Amino acid sequence: MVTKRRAGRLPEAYLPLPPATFHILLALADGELHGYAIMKGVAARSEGSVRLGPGTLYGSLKRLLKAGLVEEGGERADPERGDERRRYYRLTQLGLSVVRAEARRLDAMVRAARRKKLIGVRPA
Amino acid sequence: MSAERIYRLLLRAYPPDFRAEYEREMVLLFRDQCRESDVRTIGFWAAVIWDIARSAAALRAEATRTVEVIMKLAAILTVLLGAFGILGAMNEWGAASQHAGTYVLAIVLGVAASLLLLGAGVAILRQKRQAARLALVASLVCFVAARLVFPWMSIFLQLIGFVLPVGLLIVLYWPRKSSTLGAASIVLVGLAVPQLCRAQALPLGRWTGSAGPMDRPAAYPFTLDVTAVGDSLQIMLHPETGDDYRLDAIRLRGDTLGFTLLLAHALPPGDLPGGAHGVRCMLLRQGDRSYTGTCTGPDGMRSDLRMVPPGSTQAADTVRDLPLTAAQRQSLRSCSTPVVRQGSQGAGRTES
Repeated sequence: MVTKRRAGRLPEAYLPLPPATFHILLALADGELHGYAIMKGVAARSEGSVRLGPGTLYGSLKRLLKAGLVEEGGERADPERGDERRRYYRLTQLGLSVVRAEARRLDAMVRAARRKKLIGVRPA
Repeated sequence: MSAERIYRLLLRAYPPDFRAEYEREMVLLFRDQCRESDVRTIGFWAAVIWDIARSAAALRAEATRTVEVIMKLAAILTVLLGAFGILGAMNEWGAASQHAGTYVLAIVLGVAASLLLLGAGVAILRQKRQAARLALVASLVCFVAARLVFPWMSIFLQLIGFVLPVGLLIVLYWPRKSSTLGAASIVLVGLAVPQLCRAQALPLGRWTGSAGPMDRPAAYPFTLDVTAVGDSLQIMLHPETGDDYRLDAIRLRGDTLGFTLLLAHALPPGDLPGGAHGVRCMLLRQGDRSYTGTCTGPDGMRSDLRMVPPGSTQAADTVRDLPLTAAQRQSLRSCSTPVVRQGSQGAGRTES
């Protein structure tokens, strides 16, 4: 549950996000996921450059839950894996706003780098 | 030993509450990793250990942030105690019937120390650590100075004045770095603690004194044995002639000492106590550390009384004034001067 205090805080107040946190929020933007699915999603999206271990992943999730950016979506077995019940996590409205704000911030930085021709010109 | 078992052992690096919440999920995730990786490679275990070392350290550091919450509570307490210290100093001022130079200085120092303590509490609340440290050290210095010029503070005020600032200084410096200032404050409290034991104290040992009718030179000499019994003070009055008395209902507040004289021994049934039994005395501390005042009997008769602490030159003078033989005089000198030395002798406390 997002407390009144958290709800009153602007998304920009959470920025900049640590890379692992941004990747987790980005993964959860697709919908509810359990820990292993988040880990796989992050590894796939970053083409293997970001690998979250269980400690880093659950440490970050703990902080995100506390900050009200993520909430638990209950426990159930993964239909694809069909094993033990797993805890699922999803973005809150605040978490969505924060990941959007961080994406905008990074986008602005990338555009600034492009203007200075530090990275390639965006293809038309 | 299976990889999962090793992993469970490694998970002990995490704070217990985190483990209770996430251990099962982490083990499930580790199982998934094991299915997709070769657990026999060094690379796999290096990644596992790196992940645990990094995240466990961060989580443990977060757990210690509860110290900050405790610091906030301590800061609020400091503000309240600072205010209490100011009120205590004002109360002390009101309780005193004479305002000698050193007494005024002690009160001013006490108020300054309390104000600085209050400021330190506010600084901690506003996370101005450096300002808080300076205020605490200054408060400590003021309090030590006040205690030195006026040794009759209540034990509670002294605990606030000494122990609280030093405790806060230790917390404010630890564990970031050691510092000369922090070390100096710890040394300061080490020196101050023995002084604390002398709170609300009368020097122990054999006092001398005299009593007599109001405004009359004739005096009845006596000696007083001041001893500490546990946390209390026991004072026995031995007149040169007649029965011994014990001092009852001793009150030491500000520079005023009050007590009631009661016969030291039980009377046979039917006998009524006479002499000085039931006399209530109220004495004022003088500049030479002696106490002088008046005693009022149950019948309203009043007399003067003077008590001179051991170890002072006044004690010897008083003994000299008394109608004693040379041997008796020497006996009193030998039992008072070497036995009780101001600052080196233990002392008992009175009720305040």
